[in-house]
Amino acid sequence: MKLKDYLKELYHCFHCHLCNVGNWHELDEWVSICPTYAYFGFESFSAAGKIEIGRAFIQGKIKKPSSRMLQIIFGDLGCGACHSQCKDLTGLNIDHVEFFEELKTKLVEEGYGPLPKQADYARSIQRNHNPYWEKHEKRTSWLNSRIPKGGKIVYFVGCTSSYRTQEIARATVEILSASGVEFGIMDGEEWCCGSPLLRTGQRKLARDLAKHNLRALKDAGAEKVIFSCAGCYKTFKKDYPKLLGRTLDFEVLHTSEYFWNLIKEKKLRPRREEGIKVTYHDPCHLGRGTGLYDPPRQVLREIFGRYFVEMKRTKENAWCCGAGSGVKAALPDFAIWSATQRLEEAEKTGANILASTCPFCKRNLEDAEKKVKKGMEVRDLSELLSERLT
Amino acid sequence: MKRKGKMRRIEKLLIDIVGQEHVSSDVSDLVAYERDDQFFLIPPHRPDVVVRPSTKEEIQAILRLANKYRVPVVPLASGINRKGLCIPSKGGIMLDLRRMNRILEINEEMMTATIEPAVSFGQLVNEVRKTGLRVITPWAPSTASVLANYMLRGIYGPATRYGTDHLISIEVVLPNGDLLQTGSLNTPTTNPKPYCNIVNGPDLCKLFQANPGTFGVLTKGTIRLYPMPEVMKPFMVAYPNYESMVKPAIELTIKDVVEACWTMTFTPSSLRTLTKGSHLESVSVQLAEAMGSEDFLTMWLYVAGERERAEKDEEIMRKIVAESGGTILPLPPESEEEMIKDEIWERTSVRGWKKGNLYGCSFYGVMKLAPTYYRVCRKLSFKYGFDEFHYEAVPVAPFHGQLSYNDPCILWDAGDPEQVRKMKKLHREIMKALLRTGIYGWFRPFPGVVDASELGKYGELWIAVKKLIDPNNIMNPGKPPLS
Repeated sequence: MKLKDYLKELYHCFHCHLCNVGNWHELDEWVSICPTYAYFGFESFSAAGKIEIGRAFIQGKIKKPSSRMLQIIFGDLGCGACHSQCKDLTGLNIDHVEFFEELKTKLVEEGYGPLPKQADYARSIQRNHNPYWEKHEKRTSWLNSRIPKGGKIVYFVGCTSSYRTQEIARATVEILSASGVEFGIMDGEEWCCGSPLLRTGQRKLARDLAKHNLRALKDAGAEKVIFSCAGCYKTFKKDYPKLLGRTLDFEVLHTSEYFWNLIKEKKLRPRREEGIKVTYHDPCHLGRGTGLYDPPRQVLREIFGRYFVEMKRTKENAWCCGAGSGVKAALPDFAIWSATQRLEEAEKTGANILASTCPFCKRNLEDAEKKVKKGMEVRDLSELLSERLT
Repeated sequence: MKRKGKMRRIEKLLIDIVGQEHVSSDVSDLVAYERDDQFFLIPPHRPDVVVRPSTKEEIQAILRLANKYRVPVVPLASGINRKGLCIPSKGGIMLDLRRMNRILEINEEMMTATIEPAVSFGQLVNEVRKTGLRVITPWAPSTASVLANYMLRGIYGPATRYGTDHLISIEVVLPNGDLLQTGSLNTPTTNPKPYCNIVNGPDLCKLFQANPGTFGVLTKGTIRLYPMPEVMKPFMVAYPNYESMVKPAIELTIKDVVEACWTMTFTPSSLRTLTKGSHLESVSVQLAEAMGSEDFLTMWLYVAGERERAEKDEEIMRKIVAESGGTILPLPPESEEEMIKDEIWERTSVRGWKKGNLYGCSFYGVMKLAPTYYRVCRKLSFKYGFDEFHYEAVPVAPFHGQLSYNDPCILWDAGDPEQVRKMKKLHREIMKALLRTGIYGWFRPFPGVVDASELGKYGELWIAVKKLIDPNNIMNPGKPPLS
């Protein structure tokens, strides 16, 4: 849907601001759910405010976006918390995440935005196929054993686990190997999925990446592609088909659902852990983004049983860690603040471990933990599972 | 250019008062305030600057500044700008009060809460329900400001028993920056308390009520809380026609058998839209099929109170309903639970907007005339091609004069320019037709609805009071009583 086609629908937002709070009939508590509005405070940072900015831009009432406007729009987390509240309650029939991405894309097309750090990582992606200014040749430096290239089942590692949270990549490989599944990786043929670009309106470059990755996976004979990164998973599952106008030739699975299948098939038998309390943070790309809420919880219950506890804000009402859509790069203080809120919520459950299923969430939550020192262990589901394989 | 220069100076002075981080004149911060759902009647207009104070002292300084430079000030409490009330039609300062969201006191013994203007119903209920007390909540989103709503006199779920007056005293910054407190707060006694309004002369709180930010800026208010009922039971009763609903509604109200009595009608299409995806969807689909082209007429009743009383009330209610030809419909447990939450906790839903937009022309009228009001409005709605019509009339305590809140509601699409054009005409016709039929008056001083110049001496005095309090007309100019 093109940006101008949204205009008619935007009149249906009447600023009820229910998008700023969790579903309190369901949660039994009045809690904030929109990190940008909670942090920045101005109406313009709420979903309703961003909708009005979009409307004014489409109508030509804002001709030249200011740097403030770019901060507001490109500081949007794309977490979809607003949409999860709005969609069933009101008559505003848009997907907020898609609308804000469309707005960002249009702005970029017209020469405005993204924010400097977001443009910077795009340059890195162009040069190195990753957003971290790391050498492409080092993409598999995390590997401590030989894994075949390609095959029917492919593990798509993603940039963050390749260069920053390598323990997730190693744990994933360990689990897959332990299950007896024959799988491969893409080695140097794996490029950034394009998620950091799509979330910041840099769609053209993302399309090139999608074409490359799909061609490479086809050449590798992939029938099933597994992702440990929620961002990559959503990008392949939801964005690639739209971006390229065709369905994918292979099945797209997140590790949490694949692991749960392996457990059900008795190919994995995790050791039961007693006494360690663990809670789970829903990555926005995985939860609200693709509707995958249960498999990570099923795996955690399998390991931790009754010691798996939920935070107040979960699933559709989850609080975003604050890292997504290039926000960690561009607005790091805000990203850490949002993650700190989540750590505090996790602490209230009495949990020792805050688990998640996204390397980028893990990274941001860990960075916040280093800063505020809550004593919370931030772990990926794959790490928790790999450490308990029998 | 001259105006721009003046506003730049004002902005610098505002920054001195509240700090750089709480002031903006960037267009992206301003467009968010320029439009609301009544844009078809009240044209969009941006403020020149938005400022976010957090104390009454800051508000005093801001109003002194605005008064000195004669700059308009539009206060906005929790951010739900409705029906043009907070559109800065003359530009100026948008006074966004959302940092003033503190609950200052919940006093169980006095059955009161003292709060700041941006405290929402959801926020307050969340705290008050930890006690044995209850907040009277409106049929509005739970994000609505308690004080803004009470100041503008909303319509509340249990208005049939509890009426619409839940405000005891207020603290308000006048346009010249002076601070005024009403009620017992002003008694020259040791440690004055805010819990009484009927002392020392006229209740000046009432003077500020139903003035949409045109007399000053509220900085805190003390409201009434009520005992949480031990039992609450909702009922949905079907009736064959509106007349048959009115008599039992009046009887139930006079006998104080129910806390809420909503007589409502729905065209089949409006019923489908309003209940789609809700806990009532399956019920409404069956009803719509049974209705054919007829409207569905229903009375929503809530029996509530101490168990013994509630049981007796239910018995009387069932008798009155049966004698009047009503049929109590079976409610699925999840519907009953949600209806109770809506009534006690405050609604999370804004289903009235399911079509996109909701037109309402709410007014107070005589309960026995509700069927006439309904027919008049329904006919006009259909004349303009709006078939998603819904009507509600609610007896309001105290019921003298058969006081009832009435709202002809039309579900429509403001994204369609043709519908916008029609709605402008329809709005004028509905108002005229209702005045011809005989109503008490309009629900709230909405611009485009209330015109003080048509209100004779009353209007003249209202305008004179406005001029006395706000001689430079800085407070929300363009809104009643001055247009």
